[in-house]
Amino acid sequence: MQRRDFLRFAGLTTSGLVIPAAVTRAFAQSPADRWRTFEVTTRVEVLQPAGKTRVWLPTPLTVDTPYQKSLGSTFNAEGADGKAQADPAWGLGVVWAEWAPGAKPVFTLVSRFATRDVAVDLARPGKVATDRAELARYLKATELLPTDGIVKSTAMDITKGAKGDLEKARALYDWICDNTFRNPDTRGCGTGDIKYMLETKNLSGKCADLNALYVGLARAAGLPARDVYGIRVAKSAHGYKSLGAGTENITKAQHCRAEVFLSDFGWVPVDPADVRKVVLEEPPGNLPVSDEKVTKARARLFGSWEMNWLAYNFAHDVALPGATKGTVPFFMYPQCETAEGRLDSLDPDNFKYRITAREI
Amino acid sequence: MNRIAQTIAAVAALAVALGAGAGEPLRPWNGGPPPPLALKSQAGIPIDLARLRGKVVLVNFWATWCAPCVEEMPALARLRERLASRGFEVIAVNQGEMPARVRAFTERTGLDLPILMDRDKEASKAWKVRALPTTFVVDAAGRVRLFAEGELDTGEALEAAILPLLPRERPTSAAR
Repeated sequence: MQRRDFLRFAGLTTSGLVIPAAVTRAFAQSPADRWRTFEVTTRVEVLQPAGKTRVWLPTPLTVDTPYQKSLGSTFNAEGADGKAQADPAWGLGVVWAEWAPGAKPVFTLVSRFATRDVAVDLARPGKVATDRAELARYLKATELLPTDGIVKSTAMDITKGAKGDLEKARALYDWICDNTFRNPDTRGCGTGDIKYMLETKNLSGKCADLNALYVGLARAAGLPARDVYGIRVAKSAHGYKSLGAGTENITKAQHCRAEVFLSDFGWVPVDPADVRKVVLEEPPGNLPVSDEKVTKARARLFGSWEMNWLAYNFAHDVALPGATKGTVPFFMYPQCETAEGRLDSLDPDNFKYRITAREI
Repeated sequence: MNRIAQTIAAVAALAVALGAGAGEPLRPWNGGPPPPLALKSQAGIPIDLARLRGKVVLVNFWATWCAPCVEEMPALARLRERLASRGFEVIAVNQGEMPARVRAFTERTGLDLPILMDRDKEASKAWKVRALPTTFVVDAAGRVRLFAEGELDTGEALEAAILPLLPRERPTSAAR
């Protein structure tokens, strides 16, 4: 059966999850005030299904933020019933479908969303409403982000002498910028096993390693923090070749950022992993940290984000609905299981899938 | 020593140095008994480590995208060939990749090793593999005896570490 399903999270409840009253709008007009509107299309065609085949795709954030609003999604699971599920505690939205043995799984998700560059004025502290339950969530350890042992001791060393949470957050940011490096040989966005990175003193990786290290250290230092998993959708308007998507094909443009909660400012965007990306990749490449391109990026990426990027969710240890192979550490790529096992999400050519983006 | 002899000695020393490699040596393992390892091979045939009891098995976790893994595998294949008659086996456990990619790799390289497919990475998790390559040597009684995380030193030290564990003597001239 072919059916184009329109994704309305409002009113759809899955066991154990509470869906917020108003999350998505049906391809609504993009909001005014410097918002940009994008459409991202993910198409999956499982080349070697076996037995029952399940595919899961992440949607844009299911909660609105100062930097992103969802404008709705549609999905089409050819030959299966597609389903949608949300967990707004983590901004997580999943669309998924299961195909019977012998079927040819093809799954398409089209999402529209609006983004707006975000910058927090760290010179102007203010009064910030806090949600204790939310903040408690973002202090907890995860499977790959412990907050005790070597993570705790490292965080304490880095923040020793820092006065207040802004100084602590900045000390951690500077430490990541100065002591880690982007490894071009790391597969995909990395794994995020921060204990292993610290124990082996191998502080290299990509965004899911370096920004996870920031988040883990921040949590261990008592600062609520979260990874924000997403994908780049457009070029950088700031002239950085390394910090944007160069073409409409964004199949391999996944990127994880981070936020830290400061009591006088609320959620503050940071991205030390992208500072290291500028060091490694911004032409002519292998720039010293003192290079002006690096220092400018470093200053900007503590407290602001350019929103040529789509945020998917803040989730760790994700239990995909109906999955039989355990949780995934994070949900930033298409996922699939067949009777032969879990497919390699980092191999879009053999999986296979394609993700494209266009500005509307 | 005359000049020719000095040159020969220097070249020999260099050859030994090169043969020693720059990788990790196998170290004694203190991590307890091995978890189960029963996976399908690249050809879809079930292979169970427990059924190889009686042989010394080198279990190597690898991936096609892992450059040090790819570099050391020919040496592991040669070691397997040399020691097979003495009860030695090598199992190369591919971590999480698609069969098409692994097949393309083995066809391109001609690698001749039993390859097990850990598609869900559950075996890697059970064996606490945190980096690639990671190598374990399991003795004939099924106990893990040696371990290395990272690229192996595939020089003479590798064979020297394995030889004492082998269940069978080198074949004698009469046996040949």
